[in-house]
Amino acid sequence: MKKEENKVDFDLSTLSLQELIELYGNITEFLKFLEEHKIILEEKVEEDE
Amino acid sequence: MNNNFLDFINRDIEAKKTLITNTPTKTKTNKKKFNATIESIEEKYEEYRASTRNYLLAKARSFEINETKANVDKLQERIVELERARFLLNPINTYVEKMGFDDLIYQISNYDTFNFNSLNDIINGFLDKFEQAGIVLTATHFDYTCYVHEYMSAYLEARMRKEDKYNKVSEIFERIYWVNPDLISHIELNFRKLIRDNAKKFEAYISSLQKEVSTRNGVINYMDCLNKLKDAYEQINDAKKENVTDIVLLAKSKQIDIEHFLENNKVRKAAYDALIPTTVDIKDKSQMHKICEALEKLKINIEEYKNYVEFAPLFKDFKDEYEKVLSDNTQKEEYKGLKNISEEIKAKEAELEKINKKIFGSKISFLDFRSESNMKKLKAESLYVAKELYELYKKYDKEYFKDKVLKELDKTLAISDLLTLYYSFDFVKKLAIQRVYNITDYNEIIKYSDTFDLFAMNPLNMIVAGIPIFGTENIARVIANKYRLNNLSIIEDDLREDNLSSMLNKISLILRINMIENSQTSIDKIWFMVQVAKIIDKENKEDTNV
Repeated sequence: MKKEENKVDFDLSTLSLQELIELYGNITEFLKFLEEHKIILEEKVEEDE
Repeated sequence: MNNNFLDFINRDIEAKKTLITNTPTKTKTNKKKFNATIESIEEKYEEYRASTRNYLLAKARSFEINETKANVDKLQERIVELERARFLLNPINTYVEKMGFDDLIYQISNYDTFNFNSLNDIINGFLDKFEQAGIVLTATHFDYTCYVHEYMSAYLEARMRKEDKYNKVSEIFERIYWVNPDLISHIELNFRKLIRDNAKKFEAYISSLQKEVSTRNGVINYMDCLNKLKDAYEQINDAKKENVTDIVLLAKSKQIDIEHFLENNKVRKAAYDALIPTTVDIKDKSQMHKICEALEKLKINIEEYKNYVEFAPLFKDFKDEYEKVLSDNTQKEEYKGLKNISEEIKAKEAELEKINKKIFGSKISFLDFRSESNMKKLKAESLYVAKELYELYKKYDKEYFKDKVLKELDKTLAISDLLTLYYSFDFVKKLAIQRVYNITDYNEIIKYSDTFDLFAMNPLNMIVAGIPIFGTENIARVIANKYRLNNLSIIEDDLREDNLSSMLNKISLILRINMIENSQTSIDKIWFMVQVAKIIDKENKEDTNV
């Protein structure tokens, strides 16, 4: 992860107005995707197993 | 090295999605690890989101424009004042309309039709207007029938005591109602008679108001008032003229769709194709300036024409009624309908007065059966005459308007003249709306009536001034031909009733695009501001839901 992060050039000024909106939309959508994929751990059941 | 952060994010998201879908989740340890991975990614992406959001907001703020507009409050106040002056100086109608009695008569005569909540409000409306002119009515003035007298005596007493609920009056009303269901109609007739009997006082009162508004507004006469009003309307229209800031606000509040403004949008393309000939180079500012000047005028004409179309059934109704009269000149010259019906009413009211004198003057002995039966007979007779009078007054209303029309009736009578006529006689206008559009809901009639008044009052109307009521002009063709000369592609069919709103939308779109393109901002910047506004709006909604 860290290696990859170092590569990121977080320069938003190179993006067009449309790309900026697209970027924000994609990030928000992905965060929603992550939230939906989280697993709810049911402690008791897991322990019994 | 990723030069484009969007490319990096897109690739990174895909990679992480693959990672997530391929991470084992069978055991508890797997699941914990899986969630930890997600949380770590989430943390990073929350950072990205926050930074991007701040950047978007700052950029959108840097695009904001704030074109100042002249304060229209004073102009609006001036228009209100001049409208009042016009209303009072109107040479066509009389003190009846200027006092607003026609509106009250309309309400009371339609009391049953519309199920009004409060008869008291209407009666108080009449009494207030008399008081405004310095006329205090007492029970003795309400002698149209013995029942009107009984009811109004109790009513005035309750009004004097400022009783809120008029409970006793309601009881009296109910008791009388079963003997005389026409009580409300007779109260109406009593007020009509009192309005007529006090004509001189009302005229003097109106005259004093006319002097007051004329002095206050620096108006010499009605025509002078109209000219000043026209100037004031032009000034306020200029001051209110839409600017780029307005367009941004409209787009942000979703009243217009900013996507339609984008260069490759189908709606934009359709608007240009529909109105601008292919010979015009839309990139050429000078050519587009001329086209937009013509479009501005066309827009005003279509808005006026749209109003005309909405009330065309009313104009047709008038035309059907008076076309026969117009062709028969003798009828116009010798017509004495109003005079005749007025005399008939006077005679009938004298007859009723005689009967009433007998009723009011006699004292019934409860033991005298003959006297009681005679009284019953007299009361029944008075109600019969009052009923006849009610029908006569209905005829009077028709003749009253007809009389005014005949004074103006001419082959050249224009739609604008008819607008002024109906605007001047609210009672007749509402009856015509009710009849022509077959409306039974009072609020709907008021809505039509108010829309009509706004149309009729506009001193900047142009088209209607040139259209004779009795002519056969095809207005759509006249407009289309005019603007073809201005190099617009417009045909008669574009101005069909069901095409008008769409035409106005197309014109507005072209004019707004042209305005933006000639301003300091751009369509792309406005589009961006709108998207950022949507993001904030969505966040606010989500916060409210949480």
